Amino acid sequence: MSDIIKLLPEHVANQIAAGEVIQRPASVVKELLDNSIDAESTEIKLIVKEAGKALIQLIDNGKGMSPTDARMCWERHATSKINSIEDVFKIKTMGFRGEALASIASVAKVELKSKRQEDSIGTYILIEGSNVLKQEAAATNIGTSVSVKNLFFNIPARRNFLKSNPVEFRHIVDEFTRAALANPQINFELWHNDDEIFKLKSSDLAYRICDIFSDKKPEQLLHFEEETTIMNVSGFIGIPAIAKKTRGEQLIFVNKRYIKDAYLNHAIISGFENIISKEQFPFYCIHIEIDPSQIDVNIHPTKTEIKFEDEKNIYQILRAVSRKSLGGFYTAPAMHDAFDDNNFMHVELRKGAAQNQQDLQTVKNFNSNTFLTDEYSQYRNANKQEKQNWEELFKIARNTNSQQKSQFNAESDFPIQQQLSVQNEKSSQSFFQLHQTYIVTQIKSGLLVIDQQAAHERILFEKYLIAMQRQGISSQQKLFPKVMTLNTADELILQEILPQIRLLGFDINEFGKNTFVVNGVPAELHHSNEQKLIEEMILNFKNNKNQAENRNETIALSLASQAAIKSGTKLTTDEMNQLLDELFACNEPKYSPAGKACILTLSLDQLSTMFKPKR
Amino acid sequence: MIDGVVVSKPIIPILNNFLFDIQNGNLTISSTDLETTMTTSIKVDAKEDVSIAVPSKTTIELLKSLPDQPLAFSINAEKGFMEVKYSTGKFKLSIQKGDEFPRTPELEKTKSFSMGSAVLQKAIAKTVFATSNDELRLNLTGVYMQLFESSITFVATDANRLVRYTRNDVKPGVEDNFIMPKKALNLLKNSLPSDESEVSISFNKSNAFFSFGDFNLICRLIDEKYPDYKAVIPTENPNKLLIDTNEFNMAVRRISITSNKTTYQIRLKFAGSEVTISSEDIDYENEAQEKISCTYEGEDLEIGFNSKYLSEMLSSIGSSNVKLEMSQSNRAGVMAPDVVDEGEEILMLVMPMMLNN
Repeated sequence: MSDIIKLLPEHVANQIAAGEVIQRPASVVKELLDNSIDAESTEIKLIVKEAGKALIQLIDNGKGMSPTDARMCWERHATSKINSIEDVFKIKTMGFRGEALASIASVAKVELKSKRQEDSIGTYILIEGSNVLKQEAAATNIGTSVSVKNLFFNIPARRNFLKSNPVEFRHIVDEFTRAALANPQINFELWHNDDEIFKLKSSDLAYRICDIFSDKKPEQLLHFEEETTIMNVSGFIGIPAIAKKTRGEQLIFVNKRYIKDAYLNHAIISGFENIISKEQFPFYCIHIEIDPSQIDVNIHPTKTEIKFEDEKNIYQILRAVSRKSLGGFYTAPAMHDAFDDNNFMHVELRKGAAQNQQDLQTVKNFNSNTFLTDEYSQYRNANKQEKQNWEELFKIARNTNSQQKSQFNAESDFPIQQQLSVQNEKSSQSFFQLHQTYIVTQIKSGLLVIDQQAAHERILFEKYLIAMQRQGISSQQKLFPKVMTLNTADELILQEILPQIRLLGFDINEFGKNTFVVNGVPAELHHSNEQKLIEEMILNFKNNKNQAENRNETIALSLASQAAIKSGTKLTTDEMNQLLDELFACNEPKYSPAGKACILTLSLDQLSTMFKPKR
Repeated sequence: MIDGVVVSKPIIPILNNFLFDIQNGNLTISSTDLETTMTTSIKVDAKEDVSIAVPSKTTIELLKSLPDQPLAFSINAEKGFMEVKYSTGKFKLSIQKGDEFPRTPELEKTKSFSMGSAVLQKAIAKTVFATSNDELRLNLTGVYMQLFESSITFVATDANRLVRYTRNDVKPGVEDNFIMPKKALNLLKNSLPSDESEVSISFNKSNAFFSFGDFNLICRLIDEKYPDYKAVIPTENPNKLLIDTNEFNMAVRRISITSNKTTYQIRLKFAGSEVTISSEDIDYENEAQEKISCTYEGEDLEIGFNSKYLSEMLSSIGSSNVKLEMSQSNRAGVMAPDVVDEGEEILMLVMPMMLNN
């Protein structure tokens, strides 16, 4: 029997290998864009016909290539980007394997024109299925132009597996926008069948995002920038209101390379926890700059996956960044005038207190996770702390000049004055309950509408969380203890969450097999069906069992949603007043823990626009 | 034509109309919310029998604004108006025909007994505040009336506290029980004369009928089972407090100012012959503490209560000194006046509030 194992002919091997890298027109686009970016282009123009099946042409004004390079680049493993294996671990360029052009050339008809700045004449090369058919001198602009025609002309199988033009074109747009977002300083253009799709002027990231995602506005984006020893992170997070029901607007770039990483995605999404619902996906565009030696790009042919040396820390940093920028958003008065109104004394006082504290140099570097909680507790503890720090302060004051002393006095008086003026105003503050569902009130800039149920859920949610972390809630003992019978699965869950539930003020004891007796309920839940409350909590917990770290939140959310004032409940003015006060004392008053909006503002401008006569 | 004096009496202005029903010179005025119906009757000088529904609010306002004087009513039921003539002027009001007004239920298979009006009024006042507002537990929204051969017991609870009021000087002569809705009791309390006159009470499975003077009140009973309250009244209470009711109540109210605004929790600490009442509101960093002297027998004890409950009970207990007996910080406190009227027994029970930590 003769030997049956044979070496593949080189062109066949290339075609197979190309399949790894070039799967569809969009793959070609990606590789060509990477090359243009690596060539330090400032203008990149992409022309596509028939979703890339007929033509993909990329024109840049980058470095260009010498005649030799222009020929060499089509050889497999020919690259200018690395020299030795060590270089793989400090890659700063997009490409490095030297396979892309060889792969493209093996499955398409490719024309290349390239000229370097110092050359007077450029080079023209025509390749079809890896065979160089023509190389000659040609007149061309500085930079490189690559035309890829008849993709997969020699692999009918792959051509047949291409999707419809709209689908393939969407993939091309995805690649294009990723490159454009990664490099906002570069001018990009995209043409499809002679229509201009994008014309992106060089700008900063915020405007680049808005140019690409035309539904976004700069004020809907929260900027952040953090430098750490491991890496630098910067970018934008969309406010919760623009979160969408579908994925696709979550972009992470590592050293300008777009990557997919479920783990890091989770880190960022976790910042939105309980602000938006689980079915929603927030927008973000994040650039991570990291020492190339800390990552391994070479684990997937399309380079959309990356291995980090220090994944855990990166996760923590992203999570903190995400939370912090969202937390900042809630206090930024310029953006949301609901907070600009001094009717809401907590907001104002909080600032006053914090400022005070800062002056007293007692503010510690707060953890970004608990940014607002800390601030608020400082407000609450303001009196106490001031007392404690009094002596120390006094020393400081004495040591400095009298001007400072009086300044300090003025500052410490500030909250009191504020409170007085707020109270005066409050007495004239009127609330109106709309359909026993919404609370309507006037603010400086217009109208504020609050969903009472969502707002109360938010208040209770945060209260319960605090209760579980610090002190418990008082438990009102019941005259008639309720005996509950549960099935075994539920019983196990109840036992698991019993410590937390007890902290919330439920006094529950085991009472034989599968039976529990409820002796007491949280003191503020006067009228409720304790059995239903507990069963709901078990159910919710069951559904969210995987997220062990969020156990408290799951329980708090479940109880809050049941204990909250329901829509359709009549509220007195005092109750509304208190609800608003408590809501604005919350960390994240704008959204209920389930992701519903609590607050809607209608500015006077908006109102007057609505009243304008129609023309 | 009607000629007579109509006395303005407190009648519920629900269903928007009173029924004026004149039969043989006898005017019966009824109002109802379908649960409770109140009627009163009066002799009038009428030419013919008629039944009309008149708007209650306007009528009451009109009658209240008139000095005591005879009024002449002329009714045109066909055209739907009524004219009221008084000494210096007249009113014209639109009316409806009386046959649209819901019928008062007839009581069948009733049992009946009677008791003093003032006693009933007191019994209602002592209990009705402790009823529940929880519509999910209807049985607790009313007062449970237990009739025995020679005594009657009123029980009210909202599952956090309980009041039991017993009269041994009322002899119903039947053994039965029913749950009276809170609203009817409040109406009754306000309309009962505070004198020695007798109220006759008849009831069957679904309704109760109270009759006194010219007044009748019929109400639908709460058709639920009342919880076994006797089982929750603790019998062993070794820690006994005797304290001036008013002094204690004032202190509780003062201290509750700084209590948490949703739980109203205050703490009582008993040691020696002193009770320390304290509260704190962690949200606002408010706290208060007060010590008052008392007579206390038993071990040192710290117990938390809802100050609202405590204060309501102290306000209604009606004696100058009050006894409070407790066993542990998670068991009910039992409150009773130190002296009671003859034939009277009062027991109040409040569940403590426990702070988790």
